Amino acid sequence: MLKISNLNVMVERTRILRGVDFEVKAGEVHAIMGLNGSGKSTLVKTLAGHPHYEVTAGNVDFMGTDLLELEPDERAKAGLFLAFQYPVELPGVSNMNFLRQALNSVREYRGEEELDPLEFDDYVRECLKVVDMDPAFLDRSVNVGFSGGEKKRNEILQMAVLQPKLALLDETDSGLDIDALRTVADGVNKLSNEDNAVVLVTHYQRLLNYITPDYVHVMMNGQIVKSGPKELALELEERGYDWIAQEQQS
Amino acid sequence: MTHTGSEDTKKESVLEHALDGFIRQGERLEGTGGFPTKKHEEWRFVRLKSLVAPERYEVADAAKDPATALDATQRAELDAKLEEILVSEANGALAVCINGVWSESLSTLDGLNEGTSAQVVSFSQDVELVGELSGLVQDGKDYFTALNDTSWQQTLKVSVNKDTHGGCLHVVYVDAPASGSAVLSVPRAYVHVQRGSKFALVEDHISLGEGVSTMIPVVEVSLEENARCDHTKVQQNQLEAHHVARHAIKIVEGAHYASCTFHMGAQLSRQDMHAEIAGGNTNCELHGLALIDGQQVSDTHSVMNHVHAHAQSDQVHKCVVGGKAHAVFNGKIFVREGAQQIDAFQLNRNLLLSDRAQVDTKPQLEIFADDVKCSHGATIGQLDEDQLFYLQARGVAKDEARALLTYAFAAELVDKVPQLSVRKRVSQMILEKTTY
Repeated sequence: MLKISNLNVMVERTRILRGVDFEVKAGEVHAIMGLNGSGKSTLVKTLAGHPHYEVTAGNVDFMGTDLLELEPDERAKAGLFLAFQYPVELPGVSNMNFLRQALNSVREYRGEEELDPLEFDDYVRECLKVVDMDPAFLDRSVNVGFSGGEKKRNEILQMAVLQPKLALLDETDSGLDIDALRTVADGVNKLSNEDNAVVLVTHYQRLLNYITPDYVHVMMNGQIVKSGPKELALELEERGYDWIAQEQQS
Repeated sequence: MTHTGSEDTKKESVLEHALDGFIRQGERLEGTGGFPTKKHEEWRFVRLKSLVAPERYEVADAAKDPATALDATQRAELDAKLEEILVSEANGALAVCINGVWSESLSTLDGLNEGTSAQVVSFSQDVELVGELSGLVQDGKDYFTALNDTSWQQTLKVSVNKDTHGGCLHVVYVDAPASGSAVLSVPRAYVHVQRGSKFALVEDHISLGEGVSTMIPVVEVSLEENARCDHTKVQQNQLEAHHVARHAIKIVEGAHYASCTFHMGAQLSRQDMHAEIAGGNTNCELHGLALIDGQQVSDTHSVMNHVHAHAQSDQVHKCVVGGKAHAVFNGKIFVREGAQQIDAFQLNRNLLLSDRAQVDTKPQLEIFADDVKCSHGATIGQLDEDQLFYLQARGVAKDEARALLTYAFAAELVDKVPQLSVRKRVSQMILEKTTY
């Protein structure tokens, strides 16, 4: 589904990613872990097409297309989804209209009929159940006045509405209390199936108690330096990251 | 609508003379400091070159129904536009003013509720009334208001009797210059809402055909104790129009005046608003949106004059400026000596859509009392990159995302309009203007 080869990325003249190789297949759940500044967020933001991230070398193939050639909205339409670490507030844009416009953009790209407001209303109410959200949130401006947990839930609601092929969750667990974490994780689990894939970016092992990854990767200095089964996350929790750095040096 | 009294031909010559004066001789109207130039602080951002450019301005004959002067094309266009801008909340209460003259044949006042009357009063009819009508505009009168004041021939006088609720009048001002000519007009309206009544005024400004026009409309609103008036104004004149307008408001004990103005048309739109807040437990709101591009100029000047204690005022003014357009906001809040316990809020937010768009903003507070709460703010910015990216990351194309965010910026003002039909129409206009 996703194949990244030798990805190099600069932000404001600083090299952040230094040759990332990474592959995701349909039906898989991957976790990317690492210290602050290791390049985890840069990787997923680059994949989503954030304009501040400049790709200086490498290739990204997403389901047979050159992802890096696509505009951010085209990436989303092609089935890529980024759940933001810091969801953006959109004053004056109602959550309902935002979700409907987003879905209809994606549906149009897929060659499907647009949903009218009534059809969309039925559809979105089902999606709300996935993240246990109050329908009242639909009438509010996107993320305005939402608590940290509500914003994260709203990201997963968007994921439920758009049904992406590949979801990149950028520290979706940060700032969540344990109940909210469980709700968000349950939502992601409900949305996972054999045809799609999830990449979780996280600092902590605790999210992985609820969403079980098939693979865990460690990022360090802009590279993926170690990959392993889900048990690697437990080992990182216990031993920290130093031993990996030492392994690297030797 | 009833026309009363005979037209005063002397007044007409005053207007023509004054025009002649401001165009060619820079004649001074008493107490106004003369025709504005860049040296006048209140006018320093506005060029009036195109306003004074026409060799000659035509002035419509106030003795004739102006509808009769329209040709068939103009008439058809007008009928279509009136249909398009219909305010259903007014129940057919409509007053139409073409080139500064009120049209009896096009106006229908049957829809006004009992206790509300509207009539066209001519200058020569009633000296006392004339005194009353000119009362509110004296403070801060500039050249253009003075021109209106010395030259108007008819006033639309709206009276709302005490304890009358739910009245709504739609007033449509039409610029209709004959092809190849320029037309100047100084229409006037006066709204008097008596004790405990509630009234809504919807003011629309449209143009027929193409041609130069200068309209200097003055609307005076006087609210008695516990009265309320909601005043909505939508200006969408064509791009050769000059629109120099003034709202003069006076409210007393317990009254609430709320206006929301939308300026989207005209090459020059100047809106002055002067509110005298002369009673306690009052609330005065002067909101507005200017949405301009190309070479348009929108210049908004407001005065909240708190002369009495225990009052509230509220103002949100936004400008969306594209192309090489220029928006100006000057919002004055005066809190006079002894006017304690004033709660005044003012916010001016500006969105620049191009590198050559320009904004000048000047919040101006003068406070001579010590127990007041006044807050004000002004921002100038472009569309937020993070917001754009967020929308794009959800599949919304960049141009659509820009349009959506621009609309969202402006929509706050739409929500302040009480009439659903006007909200829908203005929303649609904003959407059309913000689509890339």
